[in-house]
Amino acid sequence: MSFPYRKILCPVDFDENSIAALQTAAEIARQFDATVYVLHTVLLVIAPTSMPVYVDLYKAQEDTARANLVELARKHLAGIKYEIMVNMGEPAASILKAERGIGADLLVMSTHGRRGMSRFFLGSVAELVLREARCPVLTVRHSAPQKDLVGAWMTTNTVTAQLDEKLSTIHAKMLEGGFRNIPIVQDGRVVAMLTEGDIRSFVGHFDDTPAKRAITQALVTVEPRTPIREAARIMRERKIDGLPVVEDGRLVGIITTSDALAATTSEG
Amino acid sequence: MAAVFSRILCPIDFERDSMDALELACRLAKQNSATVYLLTVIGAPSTAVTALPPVPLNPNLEFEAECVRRLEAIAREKLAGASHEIFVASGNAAPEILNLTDKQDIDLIVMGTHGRTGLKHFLLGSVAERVVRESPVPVLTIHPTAAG
Repeated sequence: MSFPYRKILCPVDFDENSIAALQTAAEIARQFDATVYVLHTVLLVIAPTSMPVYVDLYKAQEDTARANLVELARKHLAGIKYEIMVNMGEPAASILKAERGIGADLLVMSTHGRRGMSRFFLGSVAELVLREARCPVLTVRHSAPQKDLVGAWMTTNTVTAQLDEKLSTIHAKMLEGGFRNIPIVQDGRVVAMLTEGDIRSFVGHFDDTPAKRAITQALVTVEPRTPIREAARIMRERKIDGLPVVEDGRLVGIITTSDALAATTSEG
Repeated sequence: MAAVFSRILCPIDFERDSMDALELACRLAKQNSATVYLLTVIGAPSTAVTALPPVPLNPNLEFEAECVRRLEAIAREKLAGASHEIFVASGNAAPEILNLTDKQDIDLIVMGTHGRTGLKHFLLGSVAERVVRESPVPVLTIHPTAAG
């Protein structure tokens, strides 16, 4: 066991509980400048060797899992070192193998899943891992945010910029993260949203224009408990692409038109 | 940098792996400038205090005072420089741990996972298992073999 933590293993299975675990892993990684190893295990129901025909099927699942992990990491691990791992097999064995393989200093996982494959996390996986892991295990239980609220859909670990920051560095941040909006923060509080459009009108002057000169929109914020429909309505009426999500005066995330669209097109 | 954890609960049963847990809690506390809450639960011999001298069936004030003294000694030795508070509760360990978590707005529990029978299944102690299952806040568990 080593401390401070350098290698944090976070097994995920794409439900909101393991996302809570990933967010916790991200906070700890940020604090220790650690690397997060995001692991998903594709459950093998039939051993691939006995049924060669299934190998392709699992390959497809593996590719999908990898794509989903990339998306998760983009959303929750901005600015944090991470690696993506996809294993096949039985979840607990896969997690323990990864723990030993990478020499993890800390394992962060959810204890409760709610649907699909995550039911395997309910008891057996978490219990086995707790019992067998060599490193300390941080279990995270998440009272899942309701699916019709902003909290369930927002992007956390938001990249921000300062009022005096030059548009050139802000533009670079937005390009790197693929954002169309960036919250401008001062003394820990959001003071504005800067949009791609705001920046574009200063083309050629990025190096000598601070964020505060480019801001055009009055600040509108929502909270994690704001209904997602309400956030969508605000964005539609004001013709804006993203809203900062604020809780107790602190920026906790950002919700965008794409998130709202994802919310309205997801089943259930 | 914003502290990840500011109120860390570490249940202590005076056995080795709760000391390992305390060590980890202490490091995390210093890293986060957090307060460590030390809790010993008495009155449930099967789950909490077997390493102590003979446990009275009805925990009395004297025994409680003895636990406080031991916790204070541990705090002096292990938690030098970290802010801490000491609690002794009577009852079953898991509910008392969860109860204090709620009352003190704890945001992280750090505990050992040992069980006390030789059977492998019980290596995940019943107290740890219940706390992990029911805690509303993250629980950091340390397995005896993980310590060191």
